[in-house]
Amino acid sequence: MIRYVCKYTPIELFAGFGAECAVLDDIPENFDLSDGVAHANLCGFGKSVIEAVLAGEVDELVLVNCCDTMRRVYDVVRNSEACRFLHLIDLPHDGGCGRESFARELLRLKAACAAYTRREFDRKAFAAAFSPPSPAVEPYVGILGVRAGREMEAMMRDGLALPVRNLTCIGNRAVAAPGASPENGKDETALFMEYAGALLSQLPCRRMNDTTGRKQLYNDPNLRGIVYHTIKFCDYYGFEYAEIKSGLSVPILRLETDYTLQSRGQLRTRIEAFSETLSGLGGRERIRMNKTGKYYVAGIDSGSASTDVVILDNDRNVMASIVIPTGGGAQSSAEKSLAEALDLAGMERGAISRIVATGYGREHIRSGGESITEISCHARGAHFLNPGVRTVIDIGGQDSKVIRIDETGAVRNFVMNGKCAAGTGRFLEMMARTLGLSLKEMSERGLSWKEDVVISSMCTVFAESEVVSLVAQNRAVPDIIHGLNNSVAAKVAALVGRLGLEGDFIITGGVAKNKGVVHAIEGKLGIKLYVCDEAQICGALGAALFALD
Amino acid sequence: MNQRLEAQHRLGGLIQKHYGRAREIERTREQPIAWASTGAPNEILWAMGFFVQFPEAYAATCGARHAAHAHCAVTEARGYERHLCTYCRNSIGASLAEMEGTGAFEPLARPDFLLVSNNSCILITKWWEHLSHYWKIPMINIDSPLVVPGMDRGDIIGHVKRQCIDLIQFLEDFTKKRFDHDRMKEIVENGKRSADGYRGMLDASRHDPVPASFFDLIGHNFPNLVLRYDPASAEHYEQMKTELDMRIAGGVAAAPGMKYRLYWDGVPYWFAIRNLYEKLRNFGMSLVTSTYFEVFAFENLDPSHPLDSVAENTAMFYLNRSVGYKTETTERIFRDFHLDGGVFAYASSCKPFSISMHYIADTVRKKLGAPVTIIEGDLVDETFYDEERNNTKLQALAEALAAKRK
Repeated sequence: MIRYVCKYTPIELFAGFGAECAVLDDIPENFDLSDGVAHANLCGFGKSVIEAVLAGEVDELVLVNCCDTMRRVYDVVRNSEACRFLHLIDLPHDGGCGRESFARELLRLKAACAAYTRREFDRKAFAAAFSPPSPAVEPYVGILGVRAGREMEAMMRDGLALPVRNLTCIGNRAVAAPGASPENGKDETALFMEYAGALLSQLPCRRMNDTTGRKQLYNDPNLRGIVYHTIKFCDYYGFEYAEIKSGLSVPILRLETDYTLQSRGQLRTRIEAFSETLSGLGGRERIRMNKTGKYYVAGIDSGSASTDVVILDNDRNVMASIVIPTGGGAQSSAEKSLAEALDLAGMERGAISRIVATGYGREHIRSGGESITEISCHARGAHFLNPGVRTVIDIGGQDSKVIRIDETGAVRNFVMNGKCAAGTGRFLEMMARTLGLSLKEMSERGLSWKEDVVISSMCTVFAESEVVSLVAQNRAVPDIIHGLNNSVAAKVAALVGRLGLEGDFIITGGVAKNKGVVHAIEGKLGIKLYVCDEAQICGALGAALFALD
Repeated sequence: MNQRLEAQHRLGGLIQKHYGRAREIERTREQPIAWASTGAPNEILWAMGFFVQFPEAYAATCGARHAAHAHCAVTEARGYERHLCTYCRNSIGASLAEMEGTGAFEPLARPDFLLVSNNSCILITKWWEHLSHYWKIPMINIDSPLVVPGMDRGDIIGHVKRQCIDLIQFLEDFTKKRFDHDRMKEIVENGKRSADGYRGMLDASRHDPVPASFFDLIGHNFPNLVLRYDPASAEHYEQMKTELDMRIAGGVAAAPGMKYRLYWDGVPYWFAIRNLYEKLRNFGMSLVTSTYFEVFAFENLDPSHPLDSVAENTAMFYLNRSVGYKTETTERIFRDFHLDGGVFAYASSCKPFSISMHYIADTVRKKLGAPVTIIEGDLVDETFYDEERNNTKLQALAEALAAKRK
């Protein structure tokens, strides 16, 4: 089975030799084999190709010189000598003078296939392999950007309320048959010139010189939203995202992955939150409360660091709230915190009419009637706490997010940190441990800094070694803490920058209690943050408010 | 660095004169200004009367002057990813800061035209595309296929040459001037003399003790890159060769008392050059040479076939070659320059240099028995640089070299 990676691959040619082929889009669990032979700045997809080859899953591979990664993947795979058939096609950057050189490349591949398969080229089989594209006839969400991989695409289909079309680089392959009847007549050179032209006339991928044709992807009247996928270290699609993000008429969600599913939870949260943004919470059918008289609801925010519960009465009065560390799993922490909150409120479990769960553990909480992402819940909670707020900065244990909300508290846009602890509560927790301080001590001591210390490493592990070096240099602890606070602030400011400054601003999540970080963010952005006692329970409060609907 | 070459003063003068002239032209508009990539067929631009500036070289300068971080921050605030090439982030950020009047570090003179080739990497074409978008000026990419086994060298050069001819036609329309073949020949002649001089400068480092270290030579890429169209570039290298020969004859070393001769692989971490120089010197290690210099060699120029040789220079650009070719070149350099070990400088955002670095380093270690180390950082982004870890690796390399010599 020949595996290929790029839509400009002449797969109809393989059919002409009776060879089966398939896109190589398996998402590996890890890159253990690849990391041993290639450097870390290879994009996750490039690593996945090497991983599949070294694991013995692929031994016939046709690559296209489509990006710098693929050029180097070819080098690495070739040196591994693990493929029986390996070929690199040079792809020109446009269809003008490039057509001739591409036709030569196709003929070179044809000769290689003939030698490898020991078969004659069958024009009839070649002609039969072309299939016309199917246009969109109903509203859909488009997956754009770079390839998403089979499993990730399935996750999007599950998480989004609308039909999903894969329009990524490899997903939108559509090649017209060269001429009226490629199986007869024409001489081979003319046939392959036409074939090269047909391949190069596809909707251009972001690599090509002229990408104006890509506009049709964003202007389709049936398009309702875009999930824009980029892979860390992919060079093209980040450029396109930067270019298009502000001029679109439909909502866009950017997902940056490393082409593994190691962050499934975070990916699912983003996709579901986006689905909520697209169609309101009506994206999933919600049953409206039909209860009269006095009743109570609860919101449970199951986060990576803490599990928070808020109990409200039907007049939106907070009856009890509690924050406990998430210990032995989402379910048990949720039960424990709910029981403690009920104790505080002096209520029985049966008094709670409805529970909405949010946070990473939301799907694992059986006591919850339904789950809503923490993006929507923080937005709702923040709006309740301060209706003037338009930007929510939530710094939680394992992620930080910036949410843009409208005057009703509905989410208009949001961004989250990538798969990296920098700029999160976990980062501060690790640094506090390195300094031998509690989080509370760190928060207080960071306020009495005198000298600006710069922590330049964005990586938590490197930042830790930087802190150790600074301690060894006898730098004052408050100054080091101030440097760390600024590092978190820089990361948050970059996220805010992606949405644009729009006040008022509120900070939520556990890190809101750290005055040093609050001051650093205010200084970095030149704004004033609304800080309130309920900052840490904002997600649970939002969930409880949804439960009242 | 402590034994300062006279050539360093002269180089400073050439650089100052070039940028001074750029400012003047920006004001008077007496010549069109192009921004070009290192490996593009820039002789055509010079022959058409363009004043050519190099965003990659500008990024290196910003890195050395610790100004790149501010430019990169501007780019990141626009939604560009942090893993993109830091030269690119620096360049787009500086352009945006310049356009928006928020202040870029000694910005390049504003361009009228952009020329790029994907022979160094493909990302660079997207970088130029965005420069074109922001500056609202035309750009042309010279498509240069990767030179891999099985592809015909003549076909590749022919493909590039056809695009050079298209470029000339475009520039004739753009400048409303006819292409001057005699001027082209003269420029290729100057370039050939400059490239020969450049090679002469590099070859002086075969001598032991080395008369000028990698750190002394690194800035001297500038004339062969930026000024090779002008006889001043060749003159610079000819005078430099005389100076290096005098050092060799007098037994003068770039840094006395060095025990080990080292190879450098990859782009220098421009912001850390002094630090690295001192660290290596303390360990008795002298950086002698690097395949990085090959990027600026331009040695296919031939005045008897000006356009063909310019196309060949572009098509056979060092970074466009296969890993096998690069490995062979590295092995040859190890032998010709009598090198004891190597420092491989991984650059987080630079794929052409970094991805196959493991393989090249491994081959050198296994085939030549030379100790090597891979240190980590990025071209001009200081946030990826972990000095402590890199110093530990360099010290371990010195220990391995000492153990081998016992």
